[in-house]
Amino acid sequence: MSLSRRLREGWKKASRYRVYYFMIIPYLIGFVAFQLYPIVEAFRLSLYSFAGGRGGGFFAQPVYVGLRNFERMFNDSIFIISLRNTVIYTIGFVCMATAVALIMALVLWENLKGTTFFRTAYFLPFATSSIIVSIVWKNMLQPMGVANFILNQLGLPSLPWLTNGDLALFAVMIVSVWQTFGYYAVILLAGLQAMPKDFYEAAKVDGAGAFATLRYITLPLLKPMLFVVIFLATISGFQVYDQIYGLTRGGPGYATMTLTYYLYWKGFENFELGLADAVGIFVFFVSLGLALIQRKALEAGKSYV
Amino acid sequence: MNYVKILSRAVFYAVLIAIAFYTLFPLYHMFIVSFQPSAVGLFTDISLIPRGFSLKNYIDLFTTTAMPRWIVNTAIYASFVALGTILLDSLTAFALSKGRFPLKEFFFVLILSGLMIPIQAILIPLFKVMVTLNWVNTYWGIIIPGIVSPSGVFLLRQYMLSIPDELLDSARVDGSSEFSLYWRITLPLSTPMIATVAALKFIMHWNAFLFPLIMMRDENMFTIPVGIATFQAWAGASLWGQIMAGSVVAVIPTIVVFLTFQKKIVESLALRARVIKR
Repeated sequence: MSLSRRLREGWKKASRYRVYYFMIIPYLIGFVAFQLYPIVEAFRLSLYSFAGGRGGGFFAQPVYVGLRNFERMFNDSIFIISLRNTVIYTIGFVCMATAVALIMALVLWENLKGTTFFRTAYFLPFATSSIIVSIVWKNMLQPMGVANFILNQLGLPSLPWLTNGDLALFAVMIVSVWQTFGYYAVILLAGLQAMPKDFYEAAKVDGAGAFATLRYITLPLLKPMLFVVIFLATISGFQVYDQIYGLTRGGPGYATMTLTYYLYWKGFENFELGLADAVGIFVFFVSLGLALIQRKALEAGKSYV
Repeated sequence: MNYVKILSRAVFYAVLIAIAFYTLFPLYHMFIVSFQPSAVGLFTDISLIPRGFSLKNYIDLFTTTAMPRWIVNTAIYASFVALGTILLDSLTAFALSKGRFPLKEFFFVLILSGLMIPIQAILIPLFKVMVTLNWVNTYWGIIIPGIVSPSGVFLLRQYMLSIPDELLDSARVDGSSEFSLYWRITLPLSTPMIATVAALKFIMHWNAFLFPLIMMRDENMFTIPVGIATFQAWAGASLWGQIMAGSVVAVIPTIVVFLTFQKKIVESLALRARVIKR
């Protein structure tokens, strides 16, 4: 084959490729501009300080300060409170959301009459705006609100839902569980419905009871899906923001201040961009760490079944 | 049926109904309070024992705030993100599923890596990009970043992989260009997944809060969630009727979209979960 012919063929082949590159280039431009560049820039900015306050912010001249933003962050007691709150909140939220989702998925799996209605009813809050429904819940959780009215009707005392620090964090969990457990239940239900039937027939033949079947067959088989749900819930719990903004604005005091709320407050109200950005980098590494742990846990889970 | 079975049925239904009360009551409460005449004041049991019916909250909200404008803004924002996503992401997904070119897998993984970036981590630099582009307070500023969506590319690519290659190959033999294979064959065949992705994107962006909150500084550019949150902060505890009226307007469109596409949405979310599992 002559060289010119090979070049021509190569060019023809490349032109077949070229059209695909043209197809992905628009997306790649967006990816670079709104995801890749910002994350790289986030690492750079976290090493700079911007004059805070009104005159500073997004138009201020940044000054290189090395790791001082991270040092300031870990020395700020409000950051430590935010971190603590976020961890407590995430653990509480993940446990409650997963437990409710698992129980409801198992009940829905029974295929009783009305299952379709109940599944829709549970999943519905997932489609609503979390800031909006948090405001609705704020109304319900007022001292004289309908939640306390219902408690009183049941012979229980009123609770200071949003004015007591510990209870306020719990209230945020209730609202977040309300909004997301249906989504997790639907994922688990899909996992249950995809299970191989022969295990169950074998268990029946062996005379296994309902609880033994659940304990030794269903849960081990569902374990990988449960890990996925726990992972999704942990990520979403760790990044909670809308519910805090709608329900408590971080209060009372700093009792419901979380990492993302702290970031917003420092960055967009105090204009301490370098510090806020350092918080963002911290959230990034935690999310990355969680993803790696999840990967390991899944590998461990696989060998179990 | 034996007693054990009847008893367990009863327990199951009790749990099902109790949890349905938990999920549905807040929506019911919002709906009822929004139609209460504000003159009666808002009693604690107002949603359990309604005191009348009035459209005053809606009329007041629409006349004293920029609510009509917020609805238009949110509709433009969510619709254009949904539309842009299905065009841009489906073209990308087509190249990544049906194309043959060097580094294809690399580009796919690169695009998916966007899923690993939490919005918090890039909030400040992204806002700086928007300041540089002069996109703060504009529709572009919230629409364009929303279109660049790894999950949209992922779901569409997954769906397109199931379209048989022979179909495209025979069209190739007939001399169709790659773009027309995308536009005339793959896109129409992917309609179910395209509708699902559009519905998910519409819901997600109609409801979005943090990013529109930092981007929209002018009251006339607010989306409904930003507008209602700001109004609630300003009104405090005094105008709950109007706040609930705004909330009803905020949640109805996404609930309608959700109920219409429920089955498909469930399938695609389950698919995404199965892939995380792998």
